[in-house]
Amino acid sequence: VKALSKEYEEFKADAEKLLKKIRKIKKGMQEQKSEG
Amino acid sequence: LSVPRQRIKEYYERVKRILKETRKWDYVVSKFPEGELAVYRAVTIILERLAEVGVDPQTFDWKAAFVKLEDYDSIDSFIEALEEEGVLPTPTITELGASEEAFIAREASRLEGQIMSLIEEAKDVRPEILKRVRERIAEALGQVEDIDRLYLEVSRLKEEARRERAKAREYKAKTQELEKELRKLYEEISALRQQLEEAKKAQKRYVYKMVALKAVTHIPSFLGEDGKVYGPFEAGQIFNVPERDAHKLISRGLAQPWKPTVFPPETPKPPKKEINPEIKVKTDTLWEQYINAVLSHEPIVAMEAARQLREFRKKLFA
Repeated sequence: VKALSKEYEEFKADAEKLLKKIRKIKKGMQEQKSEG
Repeated sequence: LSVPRQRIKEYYERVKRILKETRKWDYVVSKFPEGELAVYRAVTIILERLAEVGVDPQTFDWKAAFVKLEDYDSIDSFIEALEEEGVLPTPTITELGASEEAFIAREASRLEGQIMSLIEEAKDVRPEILKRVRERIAEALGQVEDIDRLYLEVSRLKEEARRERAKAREYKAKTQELEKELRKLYEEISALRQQLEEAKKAQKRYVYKMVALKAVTHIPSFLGEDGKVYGPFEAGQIFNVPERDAHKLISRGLAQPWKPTVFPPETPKPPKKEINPEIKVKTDTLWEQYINAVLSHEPIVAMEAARQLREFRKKLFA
């Protein structure tokens, strides 16, 4: 169980990094849009 | 958006003439630190703005605008005043980027959704599939780094384009590039999600051939080829594992193949010994003599034949 969850946790951490960056761009774009 | 230099020069000369006629030229040139270049820059900005909205510079009242130039401390404030008066079209930069920005925000939302589903779906996936997905995610991380840089550039260009019209085209081009990169990443993540779904379906469809084993020694828990956890097993314990794992355990001397006993074992029977033909002939003869003696009422002959038969029997089963 340990081996399996470790692999998944590592994958999840990478995917969340990706998600964080996307959210940052999205937030910035929404702010710019509301500014406009 | 660029206006030919010749045209800028032509209008600059016109403005210069106007300012000279109105006796403002010398004052204007001395007022601005850039001197004549300040006037040249003001003419350029106005021409570019007019070109952007498709207004013929001939229809612009150059004289009415430039006679007031001496009242301002900078060219930027002069341009702003012209915008406020409605003489010069206001910047359209916000409108220019609005649709692209809305698209990017939408695309980012869709991408966000895809990644969240991917995280959820990857939960019960076999480690080798998960490893491949992770490799692709690492690639996507590289892509998103580029997107992030592009986004910063877009933000910077937008600010610049607000001040400098010539940057508007560059800003628009970069926004479109960002849009394209985001869409590309979305498509890749969607494809990855689809592949993951297919791999999961295949995983469910695949039935692993199981092998029964008997543990020779203590076997700690391990992850089977089917993604399930097996063990720990104690010595003598009988268990089922996928075939590939069974081979590994046997080759390492940790387990032995085990076959279930369907029927109880038969009681052992003594092997059949072949009877010597000579003895068989002799016993058959003695048996015949015994029968005949009994039938012919000869007890002494019958008893003798019986005695010899007993002796043969003793010899045979000794």
